[in-house]
Amino acid sequence: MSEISILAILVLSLALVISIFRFITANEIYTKILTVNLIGTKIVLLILLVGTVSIEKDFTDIAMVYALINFISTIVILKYYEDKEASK
Amino acid sequence: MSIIISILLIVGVIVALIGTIGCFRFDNFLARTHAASVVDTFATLLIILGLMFHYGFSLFSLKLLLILVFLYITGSTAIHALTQAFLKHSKTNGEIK
Repeated sequence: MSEISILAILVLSLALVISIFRFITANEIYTKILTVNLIGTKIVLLILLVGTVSIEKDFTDIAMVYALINFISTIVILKYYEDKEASK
Repeated sequence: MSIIISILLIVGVIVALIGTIGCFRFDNFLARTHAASVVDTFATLLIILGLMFHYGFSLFSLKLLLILVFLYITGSTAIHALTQAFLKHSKTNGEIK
């Protein structure tokens, strides 16, 4: 189980690096917000997988809080840019 | 049982990687949201199901189920709001009729 978890963590980290690179190269704001949402979802999965390898067992609570913050931040950033465009 | 967990985790991670590459390769924004939604729903389902099999019938599995339900609802809602905002933006700029 431990080896499989470490392999899964490595592949997920590769996907995370690809999405960070996508965030840097994106030139429109909606793609950037989409990529931030994607990175947040993958970090939640990464926290859960690291929790199976580590000795500490309280990672599920942290993942839950991270999922909440991810959703709130996506909606708030979106609303900010919508209002900014509407006032233009 | 260990084989089921391994298959679920590996397939889930590969689906996440494919979704990310799709988000990188598609040149249309709406196609990109489709690729990101795959990571938000299918990869999350597979990985969390594998971890639930690993933990067995315990409090951790209940928390994982809670995270799964929450990610399903919020991920779809966030991408739906994003697509609506993009459509509004495109209509005001005259890119889509």
